[in-house]
Amino acid sequence: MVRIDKRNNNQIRSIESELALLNKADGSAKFSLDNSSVLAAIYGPVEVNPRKEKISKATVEVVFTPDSGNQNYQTKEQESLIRNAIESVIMTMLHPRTLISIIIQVYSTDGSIVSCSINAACLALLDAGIELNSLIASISLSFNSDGQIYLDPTMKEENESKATAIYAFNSQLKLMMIKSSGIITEQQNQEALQLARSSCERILAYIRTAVKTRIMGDTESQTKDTVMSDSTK
Amino acid sequence: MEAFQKIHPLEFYRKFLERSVRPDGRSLQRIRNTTVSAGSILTADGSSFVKIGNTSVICGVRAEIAEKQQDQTTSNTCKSQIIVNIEMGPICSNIFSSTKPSEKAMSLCTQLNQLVQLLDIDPKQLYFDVDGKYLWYLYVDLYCLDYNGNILDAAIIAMLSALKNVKLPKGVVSDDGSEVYKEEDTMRTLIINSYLIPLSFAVIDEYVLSDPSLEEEKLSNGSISIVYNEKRELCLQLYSGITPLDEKTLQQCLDQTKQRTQEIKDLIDQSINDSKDK
Repeated sequence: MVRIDKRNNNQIRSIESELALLNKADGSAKFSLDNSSVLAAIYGPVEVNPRKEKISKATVEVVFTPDSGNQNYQTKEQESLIRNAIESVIMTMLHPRTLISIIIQVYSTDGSIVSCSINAACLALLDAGIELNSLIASISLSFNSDGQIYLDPTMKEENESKATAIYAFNSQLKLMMIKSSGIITEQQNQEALQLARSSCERILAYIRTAVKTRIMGDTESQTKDTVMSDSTK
Repeated sequence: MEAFQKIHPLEFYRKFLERSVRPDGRSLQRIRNTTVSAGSILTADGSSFVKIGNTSVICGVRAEIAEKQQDQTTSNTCKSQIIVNIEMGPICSNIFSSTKPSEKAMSLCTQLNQLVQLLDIDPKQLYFDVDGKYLWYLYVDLYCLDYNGNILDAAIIAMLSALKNVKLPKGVVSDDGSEVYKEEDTMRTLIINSYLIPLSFAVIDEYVLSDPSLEEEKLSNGSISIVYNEKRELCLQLYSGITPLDEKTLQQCLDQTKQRTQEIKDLIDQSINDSKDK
């Protein structure tokens, strides 16, 4: 069974990323899965508003700006998912009473936007040199009414699906965040978890390559996807 | 002892958790006493009041009539005909402000709206008249009155029992279609056959606490929320936290939620039956 864009069910779209493209930010990165594209910028550790100050650790703030329109309830929920996932890998206890601010601007939306944002934020944090206890990678899945599970769905696939799920794993491939909504059977859930884990492993490999290319001073800072194209296992 | 609890709340909890008990006397898996009463607001078209321990949520459903929109296809879903909103004002806890909805309330609202779409409701149930020229729109408003943790479970149970309690008058459209009447003496109940079975957990160190109180939620390093339907299919699965989640733990939580199916069904059915006698 082939999808509309001729991908296999377990194939990720081609990934592109670019690091340090902003001047003023402490770290920035762009991450895109074909037409889903996100820019993340990091400011921090900086001074924190006393109301948000935490005595034993840094406050992590995420601002998620959609590509069109203002923030609504749905984007707020996405924002809190991103923050929860990202906060779990930052070593916040190293910078008590400070703020680490993560700004996420969506360029264009075509599904899997939360996953895209988490991956972009991870790259940006690496670029900013903020201490992390692990990397984090995220992937989205959609469940069709005929029982098929699509990896990295486009917006059309997400809208037509019966259920969607977002997963985030750390470098040890431990589950850091999960959100599934819609009707899923037990068996599909197990299957999806395994699929998400193996795909996150590939994204983690991509993130490592991207940072390596950047540090090793590759003539072109833009890393084209090479790891992902052979994704059929 | 009180001073110890205030200064080192986490240490205080650990001392209890080591002995598999919580400071309020519950075992780790024990859920607080849950009460559901449906039909408590007489002016609403459907209502319910839910208490889980001290957490209390009141829910009212308002039915409005609107003409069927042109672009609304005759698909067999009643998407966007049920709109859920939850209000978490300063009445329920001092952590919320009255000016704008908190992030917590916004996320919760999105989740509830997603869940309400998963209920198996026949679109004909929401027809105002026989032909479905006019449709009922149901506005489900939830108010949290007292917030002591586990708001999601309380909100879901409240939403479901209020919707099952909805009574709609028979609608008549005049022949030229210009006027609509409600026949208040022939009321019908909205029939919803599906159920949502929620259960939330807090993870403190390696201990998993079912139905956490607010204090437990604050101390936790991760929270899990699971919602099943009565067919034992997963409707919502949510984990977020600062420590990784063990898959065994997740499986345990899934199993525990499933075991609650009959209990929740009975609670809701009982409350609906009680409201009929009134």
